[in-house]
Amino acid sequence: MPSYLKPDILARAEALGLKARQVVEGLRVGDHKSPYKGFSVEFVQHREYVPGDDIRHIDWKSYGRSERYTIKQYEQETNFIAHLLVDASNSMRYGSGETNKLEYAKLLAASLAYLIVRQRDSVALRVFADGWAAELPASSQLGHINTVTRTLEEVQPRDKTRIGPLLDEVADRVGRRGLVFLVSDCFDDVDGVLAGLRHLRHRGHEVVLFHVLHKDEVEFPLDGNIRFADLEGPDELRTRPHLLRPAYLRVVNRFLEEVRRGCDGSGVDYVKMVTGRPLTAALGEYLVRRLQVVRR
Amino acid sequence: MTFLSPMMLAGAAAVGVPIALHFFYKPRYRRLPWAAMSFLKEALEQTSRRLRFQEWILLALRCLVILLLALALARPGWMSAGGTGRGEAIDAVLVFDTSYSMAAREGDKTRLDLAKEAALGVLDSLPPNSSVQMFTCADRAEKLGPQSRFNLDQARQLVAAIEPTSLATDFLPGLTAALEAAESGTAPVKEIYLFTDLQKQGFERQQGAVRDLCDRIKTRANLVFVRCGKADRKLANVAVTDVQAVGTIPHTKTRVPFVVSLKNTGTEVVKGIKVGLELDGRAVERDVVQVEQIDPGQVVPVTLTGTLDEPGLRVLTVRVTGDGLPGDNRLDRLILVRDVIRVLLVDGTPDRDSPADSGSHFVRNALTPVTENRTEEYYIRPQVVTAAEVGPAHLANADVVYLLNAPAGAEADPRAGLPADFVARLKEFVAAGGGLVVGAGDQVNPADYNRVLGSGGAGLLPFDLAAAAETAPEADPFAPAPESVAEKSFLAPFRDPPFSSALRAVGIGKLLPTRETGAGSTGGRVLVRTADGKPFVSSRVVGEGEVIFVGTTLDERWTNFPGRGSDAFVPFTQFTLAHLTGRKVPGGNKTAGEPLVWFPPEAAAGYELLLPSGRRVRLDKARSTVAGEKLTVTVPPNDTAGAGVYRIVLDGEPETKGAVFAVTPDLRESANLDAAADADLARWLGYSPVVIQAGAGTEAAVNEVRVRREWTEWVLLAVLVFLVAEGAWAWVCGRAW
Repeated sequence: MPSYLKPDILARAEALGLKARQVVEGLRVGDHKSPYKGFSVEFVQHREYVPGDDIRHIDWKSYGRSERYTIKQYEQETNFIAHLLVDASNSMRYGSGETNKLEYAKLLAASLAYLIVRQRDSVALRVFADGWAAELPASSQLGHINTVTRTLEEVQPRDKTRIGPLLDEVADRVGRRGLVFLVSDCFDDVDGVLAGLRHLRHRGHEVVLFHVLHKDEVEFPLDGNIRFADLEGPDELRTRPHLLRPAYLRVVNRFLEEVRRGCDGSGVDYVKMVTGRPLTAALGEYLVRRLQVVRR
Repeated sequence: MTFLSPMMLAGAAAVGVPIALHFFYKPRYRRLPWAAMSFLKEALEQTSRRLRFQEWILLALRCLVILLLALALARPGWMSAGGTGRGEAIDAVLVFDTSYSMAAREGDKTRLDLAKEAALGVLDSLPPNSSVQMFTCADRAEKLGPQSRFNLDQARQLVAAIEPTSLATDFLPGLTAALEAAESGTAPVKEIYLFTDLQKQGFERQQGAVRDLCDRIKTRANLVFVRCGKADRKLANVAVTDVQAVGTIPHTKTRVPFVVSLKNTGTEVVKGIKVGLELDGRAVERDVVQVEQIDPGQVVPVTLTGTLDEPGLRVLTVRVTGDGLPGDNRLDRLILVRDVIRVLLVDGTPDRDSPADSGSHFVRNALTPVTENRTEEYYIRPQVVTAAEVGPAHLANADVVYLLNAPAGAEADPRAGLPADFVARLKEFVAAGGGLVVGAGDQVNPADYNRVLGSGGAGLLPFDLAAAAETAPEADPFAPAPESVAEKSFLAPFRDPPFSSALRAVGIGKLLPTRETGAGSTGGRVLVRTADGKPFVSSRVVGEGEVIFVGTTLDERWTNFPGRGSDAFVPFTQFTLAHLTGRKVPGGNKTAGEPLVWFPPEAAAGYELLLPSGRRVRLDKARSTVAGEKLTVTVPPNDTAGAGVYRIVLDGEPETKGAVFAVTPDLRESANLDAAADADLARWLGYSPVVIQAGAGTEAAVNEVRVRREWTEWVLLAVLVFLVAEGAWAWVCGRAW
């Protein structure tokens, strides 16, 4: 089993299940109701044929009775496609061991992929930094998990984040509405990020932002004389961080609030993930919350 | 404003340390790759101005603390009110207490050493163009110099040469001279320094005058007492107060007992005092005598016996060791060692058939208290002549003359008494140092005696005699009173047992009193009185000699005094003879500070003074004068400030041809060795004078005196405040806002 597929995380996630809050369009029968009426076995209604409809779907019996071309419509349970967008820019490199943001993001993505595939839904993976670093097409095959995890394992941080345009690109390229998971620290132009998220929502996607942050970045508990070296640039800054803590926290909290409010305003599900917290707990909490929302 | 320690201002340079640290110190920074750099930059932008402001404030506080600390160490203050302060010329007068208590040791230095060090400190502290005049002061002031008051180098040399004297302390003459010297200067600031151990008696001897003088000084100059030694120091001191050959006259061919009187003048018990006796510089006994303990105030007599081999003038020296004050540990005394003492007994009532009934019988026996066969070899050789036979020639070899009931000769018949030429020669004899004892009797006619020997004639009688003798009741004779015996007289032993008991046993049936007032009374002195106050024994110093008058017979006609019923006569005779013969010493025994007077037998080209140190000093010709017909050589008091043996000798002649003087310390100095505390000074003077302690910090102390209203404490307080502020501000800066 890949290192990202930790049994305890997966076991808890499986027990809780993943209920899609929205019915998405799909080809496979699954737990998710499709908003589209089409070609499945459960009849819903007839409608009048219009040019362009596949003639294979004409109800000839109805035609014999009414001499009008009607089309049979069925409601089908179908799989959704989850798009995992993982930020692999240099800013995600911060932290060590399990608190490394990128590692944390990889684990989160792998866990989500496993859950989704186990529910017979499809998962597409896109890893990005300044541009696309890796892309995997959607698949619901169990073997796809291995591909996803292997791809994630191979990802190395690079470049500077450029989230907004990439989200726009995803919104344009993905025709079917689905579930978009963005895993990122969002250390980019906030307006650009929020615009990209709104674009995705505009295309009908359900969007979840996993905002991955390190504890140091949120609480800033540093002390002593520190030369801060920018992970995404050449800048260095020497200071005694404890003197800056209040100001820093004000700036960070303002940023977080801006992101959170932007998400709320756009119908984006915002989930703050601090790497110091075990992923099991953080993901489990999110899934419980999500299930409660879907059942309502 | 001025500074007591201006060198410490250099410490202000340390202000560069925090400044250098602020600008150039590069602390080690731990490198940390960081993602949220934009937030950090924004936070820094928000806080950098405040942080810089905080650091500037912190730097300013630290610099201020260092500057204030340097200022405090430099001891700032205002100038003294008495002048315009340091940097301007000062007329300084330095007065050194050279009484012998200044020779007491304080640790490894004497008090005088401390005074010298302190004086050098004062000289070093004087600003350019200052003047200095120096005086020594004990019971008199003597100017030391320098010759030019601006010659501070010479002043330093003079300070080094100051020696303690054997004089007692009295501050009045020194302060008087100091004020005059200070007022003679032209500088605006005048300072008088008195370097002394502040012995109480220096103030107490003339307290009122000293107080008035200090009040005057206060208005004209800054008076500074420099205390040399500790105020609470208790000196262990034993003084040699006297040495006497008791009961005998120093003479050859026998061992003579000398009684040395030692007195503990301190306030602590002194143990293990060693006493030694020297004659002409040679120890008279092989070993010194050790006195185990002398309590405070106690007088201990120590008897040392020595053999006197040669007749003549000898210097007897007592030395003690083992106390804390050397100045009174030596006492020199001149004694005349005699081979033979010739006593002329002029008997007014001779009895050749029955010598025991002669008037001279008892005196002769008392003079030769030995068996008959040894009288010829005894050192006292009495010669008896009748009043009718006596003549000037009999005085040629005599040391002492007794007139025993000898008639003076009536005015109508002068030849019935003492011959006139004898009387005339007798007057010269006494004036030249001879002794005369006059005993009363039936043949002593008061009127004749007053006319011949008294105020009407030779002037030898202590007082003129009363008109007639008084007869006591047979049952209640006149009795001499021991308590009436003059304390400071050769008869003083009769005040105490056993002599007092012997004297009390004397009965006087008939007494010829003297007239203590009126003509001829000046210069007379009553030595012993009867119980009812009548003069019994009296004396008069005449020239170099002395006359003793006894108001009764020196045989048994009027009294039992010389008889078997009394034990007082022999000691009386011996004491009298010792006293009268002891006077005839060329030179003499003096106290330090007294002039030395010698009447040389013949004029010489010049005279020299041989000091105790062995150095010869040629005497100024002005010291040799002729008073009347007498040639007199005088050594002034200032030249006899040290105890020891002085000799005045003829120019170029050996020591033996001259006069010898034994000068003893002024024992008033060690009678009270207590030092005055600052509170005592304030009480005596009516204000709190400036008192500084002599020692290593004298120069700084002197500067401190010159600088009043020193700010050091306030500056230190400011340092403390700013230190607290710095700490608080650093704490505030260390906290994130």
